[in-house]
Order: sequence, then structure tokens, then C-alpha cells
Amino acid sequence: MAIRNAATTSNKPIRMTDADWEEWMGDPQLARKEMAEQAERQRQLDDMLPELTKQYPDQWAALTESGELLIAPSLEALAEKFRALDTPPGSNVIEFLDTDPTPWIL
Amino acid sequence: MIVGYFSRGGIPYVRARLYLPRLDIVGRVNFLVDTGATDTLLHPLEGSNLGIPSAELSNPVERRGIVGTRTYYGESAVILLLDEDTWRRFDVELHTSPPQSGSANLPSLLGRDVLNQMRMEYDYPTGRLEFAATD
Repeated sequence: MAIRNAATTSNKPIRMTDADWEEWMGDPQLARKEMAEQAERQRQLDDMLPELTKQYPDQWAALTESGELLIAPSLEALAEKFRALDTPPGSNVIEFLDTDPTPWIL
Repeated sequence: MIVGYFSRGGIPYVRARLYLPRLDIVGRVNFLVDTGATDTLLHPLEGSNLGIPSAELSNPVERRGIVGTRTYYGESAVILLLDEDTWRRFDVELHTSPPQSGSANLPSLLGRDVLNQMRMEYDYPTGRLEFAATD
């Protein structure tokens, strides 16, 4: 589908009501459901972290939309698995199985 | 109203859609809400999840953080936040980090280029994180 006016020079928020945008980004109600499901997957992965960190120390773990648990030694290797499974962009939840977690200072 | 959330660690996030026209990528991103960040930054964890090809990044720029200066790549982007039953759109210059030492595990940051266009209610005790964009 053609994406119209995708890149503009506007620096103000635009409330989109154009049907094309909605079609492109997905129905807001479905998106809200999708976001809730992703949040639930994040909770599931969070619950698994202590055990996964013991099993796969300092590796990367991801839970896909279809419920597959992926483990990889690097983020690049994990991205390769996403490509192989053709996961929707941004749909996976990802955690580093950190045996020495350090608080962020951003 | 745009609704964010606090992670288990009490970290403020907002879920978004991201469109990168040049790379023809549309996907979902979780941004950490960071009023200390001048620009919105995409770090490798979300970049990998979106399938961003690092080799195709161009337009290098330097950004300074608390641990020093890093190279990012500027990219025209559209960020969309769900505002009730519509999408609220923000056109930004997104700064994307290629995989580099020390940045893999960093969250992506929603910076003041977007946040300064909204009013934010940050109420951790009640678990409420809400944004109202100014028309």
C-alpha cells in the first residue's frame, strides 16, 4: 500500500484521522490489544529470567509473538533468528541474561 | 491521552510505532521516557528487533552521554503514539546506534524532541504515566 505524506517537515504532533494511516498502522483497538499481549509476553519473560540466567548466563533471550523462546550468544545472532522466523518488526520481547547487572545512568 | 507504563524496575516506558521511510521499516518500539535526552535515540536492542540493517545506516552524528561520546546515524522517522482511538504522529530525526561495545543492552530513549510537544503526568506511586499532546 502506498504510504502518503509519511515524512513531512512538521515538528508538531498531528492527530491522524486519515483512513490510510489507520490502515497502515493498524486499527487502534487492535494495536491496543497487540500492546497488551506484548506486555504479557514481557511479564512471562521477566518471570523466566532467574532460571534462564542460570541456564544461559550472559546470553540473550527473546520471546516471539508465537510463543517461541529463543536463546542466542549475541544480539546479532538473535537478530539472525528473528530474520529466519520472519518475526514482525519489533514484536519480540528481548532480555539480556545478565549475571552482573549494573544500574543504568543515562 | 497517551498512556505509558512503568516496568517492574520502575522504569518509565511508552509503546510506540516507528516508521523509517528510507529503510521501509514499520514496527513496534518501546521507548524509555528520558527528559534528559535531547533527541530520540534507537539503541541496538530495539534496532535488532526491528530488523534495521546496520550496514545501510548513514549520516553519522555524535552525541554525548554520561559515559562519553558515541556515534549515531540520523534517520528521518515518524513516531506514532496511540492517543485514545487515534494515532498521534511525530516527525523526528531519529538517531540510531549501530551495535557497538557497551550499548547493546541500553533501552531506546524518547527524548525532548518528542516529549516537549506534550504535557506529561508522571505519578509512580499510583502507577500512572500519561501524556497529552498539545494541538
